[in-house]
Amino acid sequence: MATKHIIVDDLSVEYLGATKKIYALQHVSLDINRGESIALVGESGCGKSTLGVSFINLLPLNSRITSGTIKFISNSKEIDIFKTPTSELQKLRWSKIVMMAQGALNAFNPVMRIRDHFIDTAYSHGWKNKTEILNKARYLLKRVHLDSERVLSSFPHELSGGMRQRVLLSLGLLLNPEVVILDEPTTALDILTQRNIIELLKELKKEFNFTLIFITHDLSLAAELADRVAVMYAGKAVEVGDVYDIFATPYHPYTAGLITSTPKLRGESTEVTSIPGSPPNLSEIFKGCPFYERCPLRSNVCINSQPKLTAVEEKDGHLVACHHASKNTLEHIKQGDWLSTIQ
Amino acid sequence: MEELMIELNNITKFYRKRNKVIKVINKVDLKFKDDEILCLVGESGSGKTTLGKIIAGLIEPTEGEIKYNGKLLKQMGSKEAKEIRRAIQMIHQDPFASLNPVRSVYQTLSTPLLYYNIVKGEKETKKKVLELLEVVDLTPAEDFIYKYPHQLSGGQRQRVAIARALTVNPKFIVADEPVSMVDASIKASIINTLKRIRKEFKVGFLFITHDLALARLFGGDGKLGVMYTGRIVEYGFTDDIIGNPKHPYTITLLSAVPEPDPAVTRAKKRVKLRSDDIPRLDSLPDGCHFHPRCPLFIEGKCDKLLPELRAIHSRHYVACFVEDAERKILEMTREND
Repeated sequence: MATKHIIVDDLSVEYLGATKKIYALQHVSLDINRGESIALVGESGCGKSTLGVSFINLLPLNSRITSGTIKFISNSKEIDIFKTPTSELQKLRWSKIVMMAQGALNAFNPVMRIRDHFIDTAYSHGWKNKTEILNKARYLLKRVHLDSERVLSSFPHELSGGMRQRVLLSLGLLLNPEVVILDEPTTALDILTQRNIIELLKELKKEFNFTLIFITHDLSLAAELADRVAVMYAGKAVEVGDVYDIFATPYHPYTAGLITSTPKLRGESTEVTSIPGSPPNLSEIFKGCPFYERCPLRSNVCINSQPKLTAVEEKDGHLVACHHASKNTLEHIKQGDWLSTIQ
Repeated sequence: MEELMIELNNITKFYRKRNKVIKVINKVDLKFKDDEILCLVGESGSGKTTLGKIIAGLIEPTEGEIKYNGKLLKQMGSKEAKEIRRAIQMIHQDPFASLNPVRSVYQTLSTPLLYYNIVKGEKETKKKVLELLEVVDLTPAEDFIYKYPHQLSGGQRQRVAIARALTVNPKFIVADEPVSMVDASIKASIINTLKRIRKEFKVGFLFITHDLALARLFGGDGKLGVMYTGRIVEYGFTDDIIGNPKHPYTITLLSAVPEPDPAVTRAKKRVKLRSDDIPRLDSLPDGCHFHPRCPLFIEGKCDKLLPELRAIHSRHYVACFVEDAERKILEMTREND
């Protein structure tokens, strides 16, 4: 039985705009197990990045947590992330939970050498011995297949995107974190660089045994790296389950739609069925299912009643939020021509 | 103009920066007709966008010539040149940058229509604009016609950019990563729209992408060129190349692509390169540009001579000295296991 590492319970977050509110997360509950690798998958605006920063309570100032908690379990103690004072949180961040935001490889201080990035980070978490810090840094840089001496004395602009991504990973592991959160770790990288980062993440995870949470819009990356997948849509988790189950038998029509709309390199089909329409406006609270407008399986019950994330009958730990979910969803989606059924 | 034949001879593009010469395109020969689908794949910096812009007539090559129906642009009279420029249109990568933010959809689409005298009068223009919006699946068209780019999502903007390319009845469209900036669920529907346009309007496409699966999806029945450091290293029918790649670089790319199925993607054999670094374009290595990374590198040959693109059988071309590369690489990965 897997032990829980992070428990997200009924989390809702809203952003306050000039004229309207955006309900970015709506009653999200999700358990993350110790040592697993979980992918948060969804399109832009589905709330996956908001959930990512919630783990370390770094939500922007115009946001408000309207319900729910996030509990982080470390040394069999439960830490309530939203109730922890900032001074404690600052110690927690980077030492226990590391978050690498999207594009963080462009966030190095341009006038500091890589060496000083390592030293600064370690100093602010109470390390004193410079040699010790640099030895650890050297080991980690070698671990990500970089020439440690050259990189340590380089400025960020002297390194390529792939190299900076790898430096960032080793900087992230400097304080032996328990949880590593990566937001779009391979977007904007080339195919071969992306492949290197994927292989590296697999190796590092094996060696350091951290819990990996990664946020991506790329289903293939989830297929490659994740043990479990949480599919998000319009601020909600709509399907959660084992990676093999999710890809082989998705229960939610949105998950099935994402799968059928991803082009494949091998296999017969050179056709994809796309999901019609576009994601909904998040400035309203949904009465019914947020996917209703785009869903081929919809019926009247979906208009007024919001489906709850519940376990499917056939499989333990596979959760879905849909009134019409079944193990045949993928077949339905493949057979039905979405564009012709919905106008 | 009945049909259009585009021919690139020995196209080379250099940029100068201080004392350095950056070789972006290196002696590319290509020949295709306006009813063909041609995909270009490669990593950033491989020169695929530059080549696309040269074909669209937006950039002049440093050396070599590009002929349209056997003629150079500068040999043509202004009327004929204008006709060529009309016949080849471009869709750019970033719809957030390619649309003028202070022009409504109507203004964006009506300007080329009026410039080329395709329509006359306001009524006809509006009718044509609405028609174009229907073609690119922006329906109901009345809802979109007076919108400004900031009121549209990324996918909708890209559809406007596609409609703009279609305004002047082109014969050939250069599409530079048209879906790399839009979301997964929207990506497939834009590709389906483009495929429909291909058939309905009988336009040819140069489709530039870094995603091999996308190249297969859009141009599975067309041709594929794989680019590396400004050269085409493999060229042929898309199906042939994906099913039976010949160049070690193509083989590496195909092995590196993650696939949307955990069972498939985790069972894939990955090719290990000798080096991860792409050579700098201002100091390309001697011989084959891929040799410092190539697992099948032959000393004394690959680092001395630049392999020409040669036909291995009719209509499959590869620029590599090694025969039977795929089998050799497969054996190497097996030994490493």
